[in-house]
Amino acid sequence: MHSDKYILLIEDDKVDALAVRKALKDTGIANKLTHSSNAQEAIDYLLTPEGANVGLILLDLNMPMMNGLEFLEARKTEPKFAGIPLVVLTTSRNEADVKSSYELGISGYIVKPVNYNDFKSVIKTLYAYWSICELPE
Amino acid sequence: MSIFGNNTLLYLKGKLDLSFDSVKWLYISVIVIYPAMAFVYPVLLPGNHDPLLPRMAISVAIATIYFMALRYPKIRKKITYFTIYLYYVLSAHSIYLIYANNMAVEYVIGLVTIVGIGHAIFSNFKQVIFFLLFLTFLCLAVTYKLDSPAMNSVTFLISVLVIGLFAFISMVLRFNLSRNLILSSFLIDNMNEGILGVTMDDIITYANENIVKVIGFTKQEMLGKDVKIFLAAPEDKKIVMNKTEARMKGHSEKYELNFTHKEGHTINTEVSATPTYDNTGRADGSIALITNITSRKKVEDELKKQSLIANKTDSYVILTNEKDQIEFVNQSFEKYTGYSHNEVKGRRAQDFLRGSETSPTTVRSIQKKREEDAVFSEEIKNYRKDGTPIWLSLHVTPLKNEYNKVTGYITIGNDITVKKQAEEKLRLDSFRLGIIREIDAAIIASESLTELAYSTINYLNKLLPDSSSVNISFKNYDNSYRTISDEGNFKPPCNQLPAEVTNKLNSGTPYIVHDLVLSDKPMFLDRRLLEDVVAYVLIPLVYNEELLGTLNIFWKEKDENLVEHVELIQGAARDLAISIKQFELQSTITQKNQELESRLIELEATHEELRSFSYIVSHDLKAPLRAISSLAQWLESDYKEKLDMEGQEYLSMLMNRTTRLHHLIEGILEYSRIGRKDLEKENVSTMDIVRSAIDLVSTADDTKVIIDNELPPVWYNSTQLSQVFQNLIGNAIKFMEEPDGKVSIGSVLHNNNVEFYIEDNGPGINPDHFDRVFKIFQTLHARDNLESTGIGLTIVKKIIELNGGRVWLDKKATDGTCIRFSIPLYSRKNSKQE
Repeated sequence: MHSDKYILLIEDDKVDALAVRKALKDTGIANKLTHSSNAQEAIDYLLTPEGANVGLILLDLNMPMMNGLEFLEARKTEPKFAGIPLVVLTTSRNEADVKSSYELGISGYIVKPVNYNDFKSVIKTLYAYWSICELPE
Repeated sequence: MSIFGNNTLLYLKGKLDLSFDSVKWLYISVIVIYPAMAFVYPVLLPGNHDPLLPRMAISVAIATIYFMALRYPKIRKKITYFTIYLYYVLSAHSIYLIYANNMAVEYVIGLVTIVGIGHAIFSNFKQVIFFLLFLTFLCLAVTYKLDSPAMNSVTFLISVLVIGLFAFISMVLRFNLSRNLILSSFLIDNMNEGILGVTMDDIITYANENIVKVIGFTKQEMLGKDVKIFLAAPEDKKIVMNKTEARMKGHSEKYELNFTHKEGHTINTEVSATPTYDNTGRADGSIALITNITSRKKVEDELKKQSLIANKTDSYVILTNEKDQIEFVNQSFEKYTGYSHNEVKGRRAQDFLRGSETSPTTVRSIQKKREEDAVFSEEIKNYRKDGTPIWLSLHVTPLKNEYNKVTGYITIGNDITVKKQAEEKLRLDSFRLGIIREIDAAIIASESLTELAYSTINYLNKLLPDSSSVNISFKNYDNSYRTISDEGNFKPPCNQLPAEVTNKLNSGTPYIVHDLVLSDKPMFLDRRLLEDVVAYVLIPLVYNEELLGTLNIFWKEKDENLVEHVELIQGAARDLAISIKQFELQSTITQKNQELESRLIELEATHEELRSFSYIVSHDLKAPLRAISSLAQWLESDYKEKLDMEGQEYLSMLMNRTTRLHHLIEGILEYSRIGRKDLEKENVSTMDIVRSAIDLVSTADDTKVIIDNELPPVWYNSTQLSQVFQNLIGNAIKFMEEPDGKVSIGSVLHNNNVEFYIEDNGPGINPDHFDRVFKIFQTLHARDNLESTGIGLTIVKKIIELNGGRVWLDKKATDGTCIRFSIPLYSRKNSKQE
């Protein structure tokens, strides 16, 4: 399911980005992963025709420049990608962040496990869940 | 010639001199006309025998008497007699001429004229009859000498008879119809006064009709009697008897006599007596006008009494006329005002009694009331002759005549100076007390020491208008003085006060100098003040035996009430001292409060900083940590075969440390999260919480966890309570080294607290380390042995203390460790009630 959809990862940390990429690879997920190292870059990308292929956004909150929450704000008013399921993938366990994020219409909030194996299983579960979900056209 | 003695008319005409005046013109006319006739008759009646010589002789004789009378009073007094002699002479001459000229009608007419003139000369019947007899004799004598006696004697006799008849009739008419006489007798009989004539022997010879109205006795009853029998008292008789000498000297007198009325009561009379004289000019008695003054006397007595009252009363009395000019003042007036009766008579009281402090309002009010002719009372400040003020009450009654016109005023009043002074003092006292109260109110209402000082000074200036300066010196902490003054130039150098003054002030006694000039005390005041100040006072502001400052008042002039003022102000000074102390304390408190507040802000800032610091640090630490962890894992999974055993061991240790660091960071985060916000509390079932905590932390080893008693529910946040129990039970199990580990949990009720305990039979904690147990990151075990971050108990402590409880290690526990913590019960109850 949704194997043709792109997964967009918005993450400034290279190791974290690598962890996601590795986890997808290790769990055998073949969907194309696009990586934007900051939020603005992600918006620009999402507005390109290619961006229309994105079926899932993984967003880190703590980023320089435009942070995750700001991106969520921008996303809400942009019909081109407002409907794309988005899961926050962050280090922050801050409840204020959790609350704000859900209010801005995210699909899930996952705190990145420190242990890579744990992280892998999280990604696996997430993907499994996503793949059974219906997506807007 | 006693027939003239009681001639009423002469008495009424007054003196004999008057009778001369009345005949004066008669004399002059006779002197002129009589010789003139000698020339007129021969012309008118030629042939008549009327020689000039006798006429001239008679005229000269009359003229001689006339001039003698003018010149000598003695003769003048006797003029009546001369007049009568002359009359006889004239009559005889006329008779002779009648005879000589044979009854010539002209001489008969002349004789009739002469008889007519007799009216003016004769005063009574006796004189007339005497004269007529003389005349008749003369007529008879000449009749027989007439030439033709047969015919003419009859005619002559008839003529004489006719003449006599005429003369008689005219005499009668004269006495009855004389206007003067009628008027006189009318007056005499109708006047209210009685008239009595007495002889030298006091025998009543004359009384008018009205005497009956005065004494009650009729004229008839009195005539011929001794006047003394009608008198009331021996004293009166004495008076009458002593009058003889006065009568002899011809003195007219006025005196009072008391008669006894016919009905018995006493009559007061006023007697105006004049001596009477006989024809020789010798006093032969007196005639007296007797006026009944009984009623007047009564009034007089009454007046005398009233005047006595007026004079003797303590009230002053002023009697004024319609122009308010003083007619009478009594003795009290003199006593009160210092003005004597003579000084003020004819003056207006308002012109000399009023002065500078006499209220114009009262003056206007008096003026108005006077214009209204009303009876009124007032109180007025006047001035004595010597200038001292005096308060007088006055009650004014206008006196009115029968036409309701004001004829004067009676003013009665008293010296009310003492009363007024008392009133004034009372008024002043209440005014002062009012100001003192205002000062107290101002003292309480003041928001700063300066405001307090200024409002106090302001009110004191009002209270003491005579003072030249009021100021307040505050003692500073360094014992120097700060002065707040109504005027800038007064700066009493209080810190230079001599010890005796300071001691006095310290004991709360004011330092008073009544008169700088007289004072021989060492002058410590600024020399400048000497010129301006005569008296001054330093009132200490003492609170709790501490001199806080002084209230300084200066006078340019001596103030007689200084001590009184000071006493009054001392009350205010006490309040002032209290207020100053309060302000001092208040400023200290305010200062402390400000310090606390700034510290709180500082603390909050620090706390906030710390919080965000720990939060940020934790996150920022976590990210690279995770990266390290991930990379280590990837090395292990992807490059395991490329590492030797030692490399793999290092990698394993690296991952282990990564995990521990992760735990530490999580601990810090958790710790910093506690208390960051008020978590909702609820009625929590401690039993449930403890059971699930045991389930959560229990491992499959041998340690048994027992709940000793039924744990009471508490008012707590369930998550926090879970965390407390998880941590504590977890610790107990974790550090259990015994094979038969046992952890027991229970609770004890203590007043308002529930005390929980978690006891184990583990290795226990060395009492030396008790203090370290609850400190962050302190663990008593080697890190490598156990998964211990040392943050668990710190979190427990924070949660419990934030909820008003306490956590401690039970030192009595000999075996293993016993941790106790308390949860207050009241918070739950209170919250429930809300």
